[in-house]
Amino acid sequence: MEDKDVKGLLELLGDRATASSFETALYQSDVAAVPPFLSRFLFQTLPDIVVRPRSTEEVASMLRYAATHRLPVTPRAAASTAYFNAVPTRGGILLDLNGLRGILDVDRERATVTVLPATRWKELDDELRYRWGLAVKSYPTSAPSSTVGGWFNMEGWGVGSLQYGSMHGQVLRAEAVLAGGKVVELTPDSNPSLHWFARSEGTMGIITSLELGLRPAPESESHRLIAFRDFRSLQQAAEKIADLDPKPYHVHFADSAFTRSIKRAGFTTELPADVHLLSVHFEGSRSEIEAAETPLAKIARETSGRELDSRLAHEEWTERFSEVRAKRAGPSLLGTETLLPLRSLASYIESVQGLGRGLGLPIYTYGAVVSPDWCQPNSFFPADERRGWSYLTALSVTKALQDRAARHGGRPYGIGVWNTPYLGRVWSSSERRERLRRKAHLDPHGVLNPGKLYAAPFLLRPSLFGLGMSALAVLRRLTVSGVGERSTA
Amino acid sequence: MTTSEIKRLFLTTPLGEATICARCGACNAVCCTHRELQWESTSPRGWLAILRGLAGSSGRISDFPPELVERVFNCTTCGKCGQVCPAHIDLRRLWVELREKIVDRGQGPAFVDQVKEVLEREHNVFDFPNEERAEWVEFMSDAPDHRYQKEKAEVLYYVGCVSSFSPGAQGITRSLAKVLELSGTDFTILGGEEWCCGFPLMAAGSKKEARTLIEHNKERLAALGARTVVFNCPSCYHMWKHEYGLEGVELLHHTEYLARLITQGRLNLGKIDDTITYHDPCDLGRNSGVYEAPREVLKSIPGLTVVEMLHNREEALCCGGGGDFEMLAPAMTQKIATRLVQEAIDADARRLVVACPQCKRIEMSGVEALKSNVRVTDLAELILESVRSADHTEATSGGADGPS
Repeated sequence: MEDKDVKGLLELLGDRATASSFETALYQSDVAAVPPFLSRFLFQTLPDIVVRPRSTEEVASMLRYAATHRLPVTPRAAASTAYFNAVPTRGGILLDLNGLRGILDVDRERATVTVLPATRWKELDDELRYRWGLAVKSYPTSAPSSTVGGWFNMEGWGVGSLQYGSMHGQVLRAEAVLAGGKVVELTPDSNPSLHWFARSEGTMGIITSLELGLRPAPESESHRLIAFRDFRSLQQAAEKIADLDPKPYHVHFADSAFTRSIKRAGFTTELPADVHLLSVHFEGSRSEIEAAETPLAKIARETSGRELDSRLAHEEWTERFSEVRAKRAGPSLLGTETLLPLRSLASYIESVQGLGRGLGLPIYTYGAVVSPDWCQPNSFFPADERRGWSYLTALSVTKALQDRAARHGGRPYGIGVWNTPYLGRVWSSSERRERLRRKAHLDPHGVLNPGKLYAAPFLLRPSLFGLGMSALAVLRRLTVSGVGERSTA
Repeated sequence: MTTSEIKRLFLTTPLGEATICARCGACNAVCCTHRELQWESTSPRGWLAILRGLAGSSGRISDFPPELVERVFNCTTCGKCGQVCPAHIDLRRLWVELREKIVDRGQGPAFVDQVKEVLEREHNVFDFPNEERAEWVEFMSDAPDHRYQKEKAEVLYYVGCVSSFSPGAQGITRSLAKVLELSGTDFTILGGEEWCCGFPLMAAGSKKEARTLIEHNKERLAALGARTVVFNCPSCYHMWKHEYGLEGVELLHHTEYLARLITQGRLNLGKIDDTITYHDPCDLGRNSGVYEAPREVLKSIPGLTVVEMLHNREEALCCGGGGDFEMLAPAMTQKIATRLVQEAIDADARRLVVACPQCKRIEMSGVEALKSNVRVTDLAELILESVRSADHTEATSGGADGPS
């Protein structure tokens, strides 16, 4: 950006804009610990300016300015994703949306809430339950930090999805600012359609409010935990449970390596570390829960599962936001988040465990059953970002994990920058063409969140990326005596 | 093992913990000062990122930029960041240690030296002559002749600087002294021999300088022979509990002591017809784990309707007045307080009950800023009100001797 543009924006927003490098440097990353030399070699991650709009009008004026001057704009709020979805790739304007936070309106009769995009999921749900006796239908496992607008822009699967589907289906209406600064109201029938913006990772427009469908705050909840000696039995049970009618609110799984990783990280838990765990959570009225829970004991028996103490089941539920505590064994984590057919979960886990054994890495997997047919497994292993070279070579293992997910019918969960090499696994060529057409229609100059979602940058194109990752894998084999060995010690 | 024990066990070094940070931003979402300042550099996650960046590959930090110093002291040390951290980082302790490192390098903000000077000179954070510590007693029409100062007593009531000197908090002190007296507790205060607990120095990154204060207070306690110390200030309580290393002495916050007195039937409580909500002070609740004792006390007051605010117990909001933050940014402290007072208003409470002199002062300023009718009362004041209500009821129902 030219100095005059930076000055122009500083004048426009006063003390809610800064070009100080002390500040802007902090917007160059997200939850992923990517070595700075790598990310800054590939992209211009440092924004020229960070601005904090407080209203739709201010967002619109920013986007008008950006359109006029052809400046890249990266929207960001919690930045709780791992693929640089909210990190600049071409500098420019970083639009920090955290000022757009809070509930605008609740319609108790229709059970809907209109909410600003940077509202955190947990704070929204807490407030709805407290004041209105309502609750969100589903939320991400990052609910304490992640935002409503962020999840809409991402995949939208999480806690409660088994019962209520993807979050995208719960959005009834949204307000967005388009690339040129035009403010539009989006519904499933509007032109452009609300659906264009779901899972668009901030590339189609800036969402400035959303109306969500809600449910009555559940009267009670119940938690069950079933242990399995082998993962195939767990999968079998998960499939049966996901097919139940009525469905449980949430079903979560974790392989035995996950419990071991928690213990290795220094946490005290009575969870057995030699079994795989399936936790099943029910919410609703007492009678609804009773009806939904009834078949569980039979399913556990049929699949050789052993029910564990209700105290442990409750512990699994209360720790649902803390899966990352295993990071203490790292101190970093590397891995993948994927969406996978439920029927392939066990074979995927076996394949991942085989990979871990081969590489001497304690790879663990946990995740959620998000529909009768799909699950969302996350596979991670400890690493140490402070050990530059071995950490870099360990990145090759993430591709091996993605490849295993793909072989079992899976795909990356979220794209951003780092998963662009796998775009071919996410969309068919016709879907991709259609998305590109929409993007060109709404953002012809490509100023909104450039470098994400649609195409891999040169060095991340599948062939080059594959070559690079293979080279790192070879180097890892030749040189590393660190990451896995240290972690398994 | 409790979560806090796990956290204590876990803290490696500030830099080690900064690497363990998951960068998820759960801490940012609940940080009361970040909510006002909003830049990433004013957030817990931002500070950890700056630390990682400063350490680089060497793992050593030789210099703290002034921008970071300013931001690390823009923190109330309320501990909410650590409470929500999914990686279980004891962030409150980390910030205090970081302040110590900054001050050790001579890079602390100017107010740190002022705090040190004042405490060295007067042994109280208000810079008043310390012999005036017990002047609050002089405003009591019915104080005993010994003015609550005895040579020996079973219980030491450690008053603390705010409750001793701040007019906005002295009502708590007088109320608690009166309640202790009415309950028949054999207690004393130290008067001018009471020195600051050392908390302001610890919060200012100067824990080493707090040693003199700590040793003095311990000596005075030993001379008294008291086996129990009662505090009405959660920060004093927290400091004594965690930094004094006392054995064989029972340290109780007044909420705990009042709960005991009520259980023992030593207080006759009368009706208070009011709707109240209770605010968990950070250093009493989140940072010391005392949640139920004040609620037990409230439950025992006849006629009282108790409603909970949206954020309560470990999730309670900070009033904005901790960690020396008020000394640095009084206007922002008041702004933070308004969020808490608003929660009390939203809960339909007519009264906001606190258990901390600093919370009371700050929340009263929040009430003023919102032009609200909500009253702010400390639990000790409420108990005295209830005791007096009982006395009044007995007097008015006393048959021939009572007024008709």
